[in-house]
Formats: sequence, C-alpha cells, structure tokens
Amino acid sequence: MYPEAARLLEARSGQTLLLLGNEAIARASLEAGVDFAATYPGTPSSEIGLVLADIAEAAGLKFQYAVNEKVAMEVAAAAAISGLKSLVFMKHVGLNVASDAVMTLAYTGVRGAMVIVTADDPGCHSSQNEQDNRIFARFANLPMLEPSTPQEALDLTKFAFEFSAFLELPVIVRTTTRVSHARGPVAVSGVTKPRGKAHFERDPKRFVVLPAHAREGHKRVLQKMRLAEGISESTPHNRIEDLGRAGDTGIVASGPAYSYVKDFASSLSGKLMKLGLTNPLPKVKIADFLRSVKRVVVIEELEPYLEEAVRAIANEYRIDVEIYGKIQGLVPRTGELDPDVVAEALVKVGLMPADAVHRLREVKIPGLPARPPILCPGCGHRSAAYAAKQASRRQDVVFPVDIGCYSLIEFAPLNAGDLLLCMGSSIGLGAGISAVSNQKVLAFIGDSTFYHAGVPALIHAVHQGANMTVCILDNSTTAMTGHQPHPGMAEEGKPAVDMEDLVRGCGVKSVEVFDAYDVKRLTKAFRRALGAEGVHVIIARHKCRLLELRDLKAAGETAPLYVVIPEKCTKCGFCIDAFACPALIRASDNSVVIDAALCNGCGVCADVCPPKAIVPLKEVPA
Amino acid sequence: MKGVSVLIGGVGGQGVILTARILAESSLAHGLKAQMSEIHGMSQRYGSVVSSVRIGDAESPLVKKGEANAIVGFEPLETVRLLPWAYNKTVVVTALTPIRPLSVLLGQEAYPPLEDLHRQIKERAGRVIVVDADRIARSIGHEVVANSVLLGALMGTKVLPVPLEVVRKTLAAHVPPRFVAANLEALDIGYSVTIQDEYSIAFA
Repeated sequence: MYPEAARLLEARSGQTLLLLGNEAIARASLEAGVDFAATYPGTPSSEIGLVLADIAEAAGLKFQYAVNEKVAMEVAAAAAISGLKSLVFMKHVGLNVASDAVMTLAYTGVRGAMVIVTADDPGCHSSQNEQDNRIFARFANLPMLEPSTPQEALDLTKFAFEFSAFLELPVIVRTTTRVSHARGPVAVSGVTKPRGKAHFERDPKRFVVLPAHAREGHKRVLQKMRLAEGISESTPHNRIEDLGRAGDTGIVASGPAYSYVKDFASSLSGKLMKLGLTNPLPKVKIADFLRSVKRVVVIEELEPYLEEAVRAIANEYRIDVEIYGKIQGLVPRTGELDPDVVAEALVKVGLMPADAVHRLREVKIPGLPARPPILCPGCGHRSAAYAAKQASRRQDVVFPVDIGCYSLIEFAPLNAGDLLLCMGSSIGLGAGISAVSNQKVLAFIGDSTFYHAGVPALIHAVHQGANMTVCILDNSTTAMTGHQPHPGMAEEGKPAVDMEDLVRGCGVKSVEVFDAYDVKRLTKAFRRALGAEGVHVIIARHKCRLLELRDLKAAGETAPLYVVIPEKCTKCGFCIDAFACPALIRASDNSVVIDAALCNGCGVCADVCPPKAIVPLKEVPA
Repeated sequence: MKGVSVLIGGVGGQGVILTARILAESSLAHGLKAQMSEIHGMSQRYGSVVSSVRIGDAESPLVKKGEANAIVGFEPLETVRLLPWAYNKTVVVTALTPIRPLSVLLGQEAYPPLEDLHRQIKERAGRVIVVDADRIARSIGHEVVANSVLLGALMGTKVLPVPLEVVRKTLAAHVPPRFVAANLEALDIGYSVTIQDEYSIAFA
C-alpha cells in the first residue's frame, strides 16, 4: 500500500497538502474525473501509479499496470477514443517504447480526453539516458505542458484534460525528476466522479489509418495544432513577469529552470518569460517579448528546444536581438540544471554580480569514497550473478545485462555486466554477439523486463539459432520502481501468465528453474548451459528479499541470523572479494564478521565461504 | 536568499527522506511555505541520499551551494559530502557512526579517518554538533530512532522557524504507532544534546 493514497483521495476542496509532483498529477486526474489510467512503472513517474493502483476502486476508475508502455498507450488510447477521459504515464524512455502508437494517435486523435505524462530524468538519476521528450511533442504534433512545481503539476494536468477534450487530441504533460520528486504545498479542488463505461462508435475514416485516411489525419492534426496556437498565445501559463529592476534583458525559461531563475529574481533586472505551454509555442507573444528587449537569455534543461524556437521566431519576424543559451555554450546541454549552474550562466552574461558564484570555486571536496547504490543484503540477484560468474571462470563469456535493480551486478566484485542499452536489450544484444562471434553469451534479464520486451528477442534468438544462455532473474515483482505487479503474478481477477510456459512458447527447449539462493545447483546449471548449443533459459527465482522480510514481519517472525565462527575463518576474504554482501565486514585482522544490523538472513554466504566458517546463529554450540 | 534551507544527507535506508518530510510538514503545519526534494529509484539502495528542505518563500526546493542554513548528516562521510553547501554560519549536525561504502569493504578505497572528516566540517561550518545518535538510539531500545535524535539536535540549534512542539506532533503522526514514544524520546534527547552543547560553549 502507498501510504499517501487514501489521503489523496479524501482531501477536500480548499485543503493544502504537501505533495510530490507525481501525487499532484494523480490528484489532478481525480479532479478531472479520469475514467481509465494505465502505465508501465518507471522512475521518476512511478508514484502516480502507486497512488492510482491503491485508490482506483474507491474512486470508481479503472487502472491497469500494462506489460509495457506501448500497450499502456494503446489501452488508454482506446478508452479515450471511446469517449472517456484517460491518463497514461511513463518515464521518458518509456515514450520511446510507446512512440509507434503515439505518432499515429496524433492523426486519429481521441473523442474524450487523453493526457500523456512523460517524466524525464535530466542527470540520469535513475535512467539509462537523459533524452529531452519535449522534442517528442514537436515530432508527433501534440500539445505539451511543462510544470515547474508540484502545484503546477496539478494545475497543468487538469488544464491538459480540458485542452485535450477541446482539441480531441492527446496532450503531453512533461515533468522532470525535480518536479515529479519535488514535494511542495498544493491546493486541491474537489474530485469529479468518473463516467465509467463507454461505447465505441465506429468511424473507420478517422480511426483506421489506411494510407488514404492517414493523409487526411495528418492534415487534421495540423489544423488542431493551429487552433492550439491561439490557446498558447492567450493562456496565463505563458506569461511575462517583471524581474527585480527594470532592464533591457529578457529571460525565457520553462520547467524547474524557471524556478531557479525566479529564486534570483530580486537581484536580476529585465523581464522573465515563463512558458508553461511549450508546444505549440506562442509565436506572437514571444516575438513581442523579443522586440521589447535588447538581448534574451534562454534558460532550459537539456536540449535547446526553446532556444531554437526563439531564434527561428527572431529570424522570421526579423527582430534584431542578441540570443544566448546553449547553442553558443552559455548553458550546459548535458546534466541537470540547478541554482548553481543557472547562477553561473547569469553571471557570465553579466546579469548577476560575479560574487554570486565566488563560493563555487572553493567547493571541491576531493578524495571521498563514492557511495553508489548496491544490491540489498539477501538479494537473490547477487547469488545468481555470483553463480554465473563462478560457472564461467576461465571462459570468454559476454554478459549482456538489462534494466532493473540487477543492473548493479555490473559493479565490482561481480562485474557481470558487459552490455546494456534499454528494456529487454540483453537478449537481443546477446543474440547479436552470438551471431557474429564465437564467444559464449550469458544474458541477464529481470522478470518484469522479460515480459516487457524480452519475449520478442527470445523468439528471435531461438529462430536464428543463437547459442546463448538467458538467466531470468525472477524476484516476482517489479522491485526497483516500488514493487509493482507484472503479468507473471496472479492477482484477484487477474490470472498469471506462466513464465515457464511463455519461455517454452517462444520455442526454447531447455528451461530450468532454481532457487536464486541455491548457488551450488545454479553454478552447475550455468556450466552445463554454457557448454551446450542452442538457447538455454535458466530461471533464478527468489522473491525480492525486502518483500519476504515484510511477510516474515507480518507473521511475527524474523529472518535467521548468520555468524562467522572465528576459529574456522581462514581470513581468505573470498566471501567479500567474490560475493560482497554489504553485511560482510572485514575486521582489522582480515577476519570477517557479519553485521547483524545489515544481515537479512539469506544464508547464501554460508555456501560461498570456502572453509564453511559461516553458520546460522542457532547452530552455534553454546 | 529567502527563508531557511536545510540539507539532510545519509545512506539509503537511514530515513533521510522521512526526516526531511517531517521538517517540511511541520513548517507547513506552522503556516510556512515549505518544499523539499527527493530522489527515488536506484539511489535508495544503500547509496548516498540527499534531500533539501526550503522553508519560506522560495520557488525551488533546491539550495544553492554555500547557502544552506543547516546540514544534517546521518553518516560522517555523507555529512562531508554536503559541505559545498555550507558557509561560515552554517550549523552542521552530524552522526558519529561510519557506514563503509562497498569500495571500502572491498579494500579498494580507505574510509577517511574520522578526525579528518570532523576537521573538514569544523573548517567550513559555523557551528558543529556531533551526536552519537546510534548509541543514544540503542539506549532508548530502538536503533531506528537515530534519525529522530539528529532531528532533535537540529531543533535545539533554533535555526528553524518552527517550534519543537509542532515537530513532535508531526513526528508522532508520521511513524508507526509502536515507535511513537521512542521517537519522541529520541527527539527530546537530541534537543537536549544541543542545548547542553550551548551551555558548554557559554561556560568554556
């Protein structure tokens, strides 16, 4: 259960709550009367689903965790085409998966209303890239809103529903980590009861995109976007604000970048143009703004999306104005913006006094050991990857890995990750290596990721006669994003799609299942599979230890404690050097002790330890 | 800069975000605008975690370097990691117990000597309060309340424009019922540590 869910449903009009941007989006959807919502979980969008999953029934709306983002997009599109209000949300790279549907959905449009939330991740806090999805809105010809704060996340999401209903076109709400995962005061209004059921009305000329119909659809979306331009010119979400003093400089900003500039407003001179509706842009308003100043500074995160538009408008309207942004290198195009990066840019153009950044020069604190995230103590991914590494010793094995907690097996000492691009890529990349090289391949993929995008690649590998071992790291949940369900798990009224059946259905003849903690049998199985021809699937299954501990706690039990018997420990250090559970601590005399506060009682280290010095506490003779 | 800014840092699982949340909720309950930043997903798996809280009239929850009014570190190394945000008036509250990163456990890097870390903190900050929060929490009987000890110590510095009583109420509402008493005791002990520290400075 998501702790905030009930509070979000029950909040009354006029209340102010401290909400995450994502919680504000969930609340906005309730206020707009959303009938249907779907997603595939992905940080930083996940909390929208954690909230809606919990309150869907009470709120009278339908919510689905889809097998992937494309399917989420399609089911939500069908709901909106049938006249309902639908919401679909995903992380930025999820929109890549859904893009095939989105590009054409723009042509057909919808009948009810549809809001697409894309949560971008500048700085790659929890992602494989930092693509700027504002470009998607321009690419697909869909309107887009960019909130700066949690309050705006609520306001703009509600506006997006109205906007979408008016245009009969999906509307994109683009957040970033610093909006989705910022918590701020949000004033809420009343909720609207969903309509519930719909009836699909046929209109093949609009909804069946045969070439002749598609050509008309393309014209139709462009007409709608011209209509949207009028809204963009008049909406208060695109506005001009005065800065601290009068001046001849204009700043253009959107999203969190606006907030950073706004916090310096009292020490800045000129005007600030805040853009909340950034596709289509208000060309006339921007042109007027450009005419009213001598120079313009565009402060935005990632790509020069606004800057290119501002330059094009200046050119089109022949406005003589200096434009500064990313193209000449004032604002970085990579990484996240923050108050310091923005201050540095404003100092460089002389808008802020140089001493505003004087502290930046002395802030380097060198020589601190980094603390990257690691697999939890008791994680079954660690034991399975350890077994795979043991089985492949002295062999040339390539290890494609995939998206999930287990991406971390790339780190020392497991070093079991050689290739990673995107969801499901481990099997495709592995099949490619197998096609062009004589190296052995052992691909890791999580259970949820396997259902999401691993299946077509596995079919390909079998059909193309690849020689590879696929290890499905099955912790029976979508762990990294907050333990969401996936199609392999049965829920009330939702049958499970059996993993072994699915793997066999893809044409794999050799499917074996082991407990991920059973390193002995897993090591043997990996060794056998690596020595054989064809595609072998080894499922290393153990429920996420965090969930198991939760279950144990609920049953009033505790996990067993393990200890090192000092007389038996040979100080070889193998358990740390090869397995590296964070509960294993090297003492000053090189012997190993187990940190009882960290140990989650999986007991795998007892099997890893060469002299068998690790035993459950209850077996230690008094 | 407007308002009061606090950075809280620690290791994933220590309760950094919950503590920031209690500060922000308390401020809102006291009638002040409050915002905070969180990072979810991968970074919560025993990695470095930082959350910023801004109380008062600001647009963004992020804090500019050299402008934090207070820094609370749940682990010494993580406290030092936040020093770029300190200036000569910043109050730093730091825990004493090191949690060694994987690279240290593997012997690839050394954990810096605690004296070095403390010296770096003292060099940069205005006031430093070192609290053995884990030992205090153990003495209360629940190791998990260490973060409330540190929160109490922060409250004792009076940097925040929020009364202790409001924080007590918020804390009680945000922890499981069976831990309320222990958390409140931890908060009070932390608070008194700072007050005593003040006396020892006054009479030194």
